[in-house]
Amino acid sequence: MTTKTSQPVTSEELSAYFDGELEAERVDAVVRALEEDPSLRAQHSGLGLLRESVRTSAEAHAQSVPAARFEQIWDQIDRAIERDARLQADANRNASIWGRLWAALRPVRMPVMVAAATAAVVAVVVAPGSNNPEGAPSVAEAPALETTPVVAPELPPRAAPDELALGELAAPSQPDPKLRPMTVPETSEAEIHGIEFGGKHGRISNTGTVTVLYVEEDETPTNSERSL
Amino acid sequence: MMHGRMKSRLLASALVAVLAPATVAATYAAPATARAAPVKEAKCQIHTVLAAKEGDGGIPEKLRFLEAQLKDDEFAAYKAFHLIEQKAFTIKLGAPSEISLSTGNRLGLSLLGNDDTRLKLHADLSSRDGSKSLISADYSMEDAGVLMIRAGSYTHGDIAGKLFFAIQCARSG
Repeated sequence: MTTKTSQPVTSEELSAYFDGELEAERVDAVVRALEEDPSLRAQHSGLGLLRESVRTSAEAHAQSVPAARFEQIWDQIDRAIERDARLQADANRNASIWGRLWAALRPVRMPVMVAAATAAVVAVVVAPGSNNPEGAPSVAEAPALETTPVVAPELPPRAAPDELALGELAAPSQPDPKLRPMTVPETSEAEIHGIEFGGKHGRISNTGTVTVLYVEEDETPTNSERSL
Repeated sequence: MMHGRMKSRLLASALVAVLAPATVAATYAAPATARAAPVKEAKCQIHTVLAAKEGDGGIPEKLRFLEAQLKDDEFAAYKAFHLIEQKAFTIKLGAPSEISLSTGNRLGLSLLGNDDTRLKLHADLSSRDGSKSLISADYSMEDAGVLMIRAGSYTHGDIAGKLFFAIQCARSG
């Protein structure tokens, strides 16, 4: 690439001129060359087209990013819908087994229900009177122990362990040195029938796993060195 | 079509003939078997536990059986549990028993009755100086279920914390 000027204009200089980075002393030469050389003007125009093309492409790419994110969101929604549909299908499949069973029993459904109802009526009429004429509760009760209402009794001052008034009470058996803990059932939930708090305040907490009765002792902690 | 309907009716009649007496018998027999056999004796255990907010001792081996309870939110504030005392004893129907604990508290426990799965009990816990009753409660609980009583602050050696009594009873006779 040459011009009629004394020094030819190179592609690098043209590119630098296009980018506005050409040295000042060469700018005039390039301007003159562009005026005189049509091929150089075409090359310069090509650079313009190239820049425009790159810019357009970049803008198009920038516009496509939100669309891509939108696609991602839709994919997530689709996956959620698909998962729910699969779970629903599983549920329906399970239900359909019972549905089929129910349908299969259709011919005998009504007679069975009538028989069951008859049996229940007969049992209700006959059962209670035969074994339990006085209508006693099914729960075995202690013979003469008053439990309601519950009143917190005033206890006598504490005596030494050996002097405890156990005469009226059944003395507990001796502790087992090889004590094996009882296996706690999964739901260790107490049903409180009556309660009396002797302290200033108390409360019941029941979490389903454990029932805790909160009472307050004296504020001053007591020391004890006794331990197992 | 007619043949199928006749077959269904015959099948239904046969089924009713078999099921009705069986259902009546089962329903009639049920109350007798469901009626709770009276429990006359129960074995009980009490574990005295000191729950501390300091330390990283967690749950000691001897309290592993209470792990589910001690990991409940109710005990989330405590980082270490110390077994102070464990005792086993037997209670009889209608005969209150009392046991003295090393903390000074006395626990009275009575077997009041039972149903199929639960024991009806009465618990009475005295203060450490024995001057008054802290709590007196009637409750029912599944066999070996745990009733926890938190009886305030306590110091054992150099460990300070809250005192818990874990009470369990299970039918034995």
